[in-house]
Amino acid sequence: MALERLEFEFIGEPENGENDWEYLHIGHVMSGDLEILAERLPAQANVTRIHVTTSAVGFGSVWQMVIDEFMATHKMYGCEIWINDDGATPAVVKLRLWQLVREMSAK
Amino acid sequence: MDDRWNRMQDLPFSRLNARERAVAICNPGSFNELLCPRSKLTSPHLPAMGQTPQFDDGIVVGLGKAGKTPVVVVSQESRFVGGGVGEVHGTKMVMAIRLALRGQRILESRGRSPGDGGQVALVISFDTGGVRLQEANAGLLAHSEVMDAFQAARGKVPIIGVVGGTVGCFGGMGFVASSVDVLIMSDVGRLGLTGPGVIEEVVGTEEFDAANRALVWRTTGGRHRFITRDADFIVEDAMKAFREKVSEVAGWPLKKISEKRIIGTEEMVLEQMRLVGLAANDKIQDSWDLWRQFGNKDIEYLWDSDVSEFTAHAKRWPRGRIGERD
Amino acid sequence: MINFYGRGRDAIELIVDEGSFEENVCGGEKIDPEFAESALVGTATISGEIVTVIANDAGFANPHFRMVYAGLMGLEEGLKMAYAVYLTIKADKDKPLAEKRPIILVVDTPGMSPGKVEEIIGIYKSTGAYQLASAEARRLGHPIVAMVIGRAISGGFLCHGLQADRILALSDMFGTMIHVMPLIGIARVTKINIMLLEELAESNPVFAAGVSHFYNLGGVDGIVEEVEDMRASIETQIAEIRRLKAGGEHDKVGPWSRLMSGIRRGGRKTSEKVIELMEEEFEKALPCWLGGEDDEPTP
Repeated sequence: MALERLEFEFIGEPENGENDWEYLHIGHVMSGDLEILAERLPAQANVTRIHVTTSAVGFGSVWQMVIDEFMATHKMYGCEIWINDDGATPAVVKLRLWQLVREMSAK
Repeated sequence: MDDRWNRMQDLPFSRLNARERAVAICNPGSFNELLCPRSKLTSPHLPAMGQTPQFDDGIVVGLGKAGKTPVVVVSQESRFVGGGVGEVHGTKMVMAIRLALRGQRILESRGRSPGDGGQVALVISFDTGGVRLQEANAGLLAHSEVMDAFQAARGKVPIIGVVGGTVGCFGGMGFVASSVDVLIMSDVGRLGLTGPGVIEEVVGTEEFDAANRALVWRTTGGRHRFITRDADFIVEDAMKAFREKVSEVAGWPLKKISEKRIIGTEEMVLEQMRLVGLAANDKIQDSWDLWRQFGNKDIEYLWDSDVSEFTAHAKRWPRGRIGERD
Repeated sequence: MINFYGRGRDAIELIVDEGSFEENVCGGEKIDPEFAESALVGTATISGEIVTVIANDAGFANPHFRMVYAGLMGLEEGLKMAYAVYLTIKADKDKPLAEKRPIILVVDTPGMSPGKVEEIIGIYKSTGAYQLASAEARRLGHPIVAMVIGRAISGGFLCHGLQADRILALSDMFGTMIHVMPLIGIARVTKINIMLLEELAESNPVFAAGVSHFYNLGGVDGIVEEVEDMRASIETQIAEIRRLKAGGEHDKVGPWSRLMSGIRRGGRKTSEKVIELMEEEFEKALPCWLGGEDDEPTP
């Protein structure tokens, strides 16, 4: 019944974006959806930590796949990302992550 | 940033989330959130129940400007546990009211006057079913703290309420919304104490059929609340419409804003007793019975017409004796 | 064990001077005795001091509104109680702080009336009006003490009780019920397993029914163990409230003081953090929001 907490860590060179953001927040905690909070680490940081809190217990390997794919595509190094999830499907998770990237480039 | 603000102005108020509403109700770029999601001050109670918390606990609070008026803005998020008031959510709301009052005192100590932005206003966008059952006791107590803070702000900081979200404003927040100075609603907004579903469940379908959407809106919707004067304004379901009305009202003199109140004095209690008297002994079976008593004839037309037509032609409760028009 | 469900009248007799309770008179003005009879209002004395009494008399239904019975508070009941408070304020308008008469709330209500006509007219205004009146009287100096003798449930408790300076409750031994919803109802609506809720309720006062839970959250200021002690406990509270108000300590009584008690008693730990952080961030944001001290007003 308790929530599941998952931690992911990635190390790599941050891409040379012109991004001017400190933190971003999108989404909501509601059935089948999630919220994402992304905070930028100091410029030289090359690590990204992703913390997932989810009410859907036992889907660690699915999260691993979705997040691996996301990081491979977007190379978002140098951030701390917090996800509060209430049972979103992988498709919704991908959509929200994509939205996050779009917000970043909009800033 | 302003691009986004501009885009939001053209969207339906009901479709925006709590943070977007708070940002868009203020002048562009003026909103500064307090305890934003980054503070991660989440409910300590939900995780033990297997429920995911949200970083802002379903409420956005911040400082901004509406027109020339410095405002404290509170905006409830109905997507997260139905906008329910829990411990953190409730304390954030109470603090927002207290801080508005503190801001007002600071302005007064600087000798500023209302004409030059020396009047702080409080704007609350309600979108909630009231108490969050997972934190029911703390939520209940928070309502009493909010009402006390309202009374403390009385005559010092005008309070403008906004009801235009998809959940509306029910449970204890119903009486909180009725205790503001000015209440602005849209056709989407609904206001009540006991939600239709609860009435049906407790009393029976013959008392209230919650599945009858027309009945629900007729009973609790913005148009009916406008007729009984519980709502002072009814606007289109557009962010821009809400923002313009809030800015306009926030710029009024305090006295003019306070005159819009419907409860809070002995005279107003006696007035409400007269309104209640109209409904005694099952004389009122439907909100439209009341509309007719106030002299509205073509009710179907009023119901279907657009907001400006409705506002122009609706005959409202005269507040004094029936038959007197203001 | 005895309980006081539906016995607001009996409780009044135990609290006020014998034979002193005069119904339907508040601040010297008469109130229609047939109006909303389950909202019992009147004037009495306690040790010779005049007090206003507001109570539930669950024995009466309202013949004009079907959904007002068994202590449920309807459209008229909340307004009548609010009116009694305003009459009390008016009677002592010119009196100094120390002489504002106390208001004693005897609480035994299962809630606000759920009904269609109640929603059409807007019952939220009845409960709102009473709360605003009570908060005003409290802030003007009238000591308000609520004595929960039976049921203090959800919106009913907010309406009648939670705006007091101090709230006393008979202990659980008397079947005193304070809650928003029974656990079984919470389990059903939230879809959380009832067994889990029962287990959590043992260590967390935040959602489950009970006098002690409300005590830990600050929502009840004191628990009264013996019926005979109600009167003395109320008198002690009145003296304490007077002392605090005379010193201008309005935040040490009423709802805000109960939030502080809840923090001290450990029931509302997170609220403390919310308050601290919001004050901190507010101070930082002030110059940007209201301009610096020497700033010209922004156009």
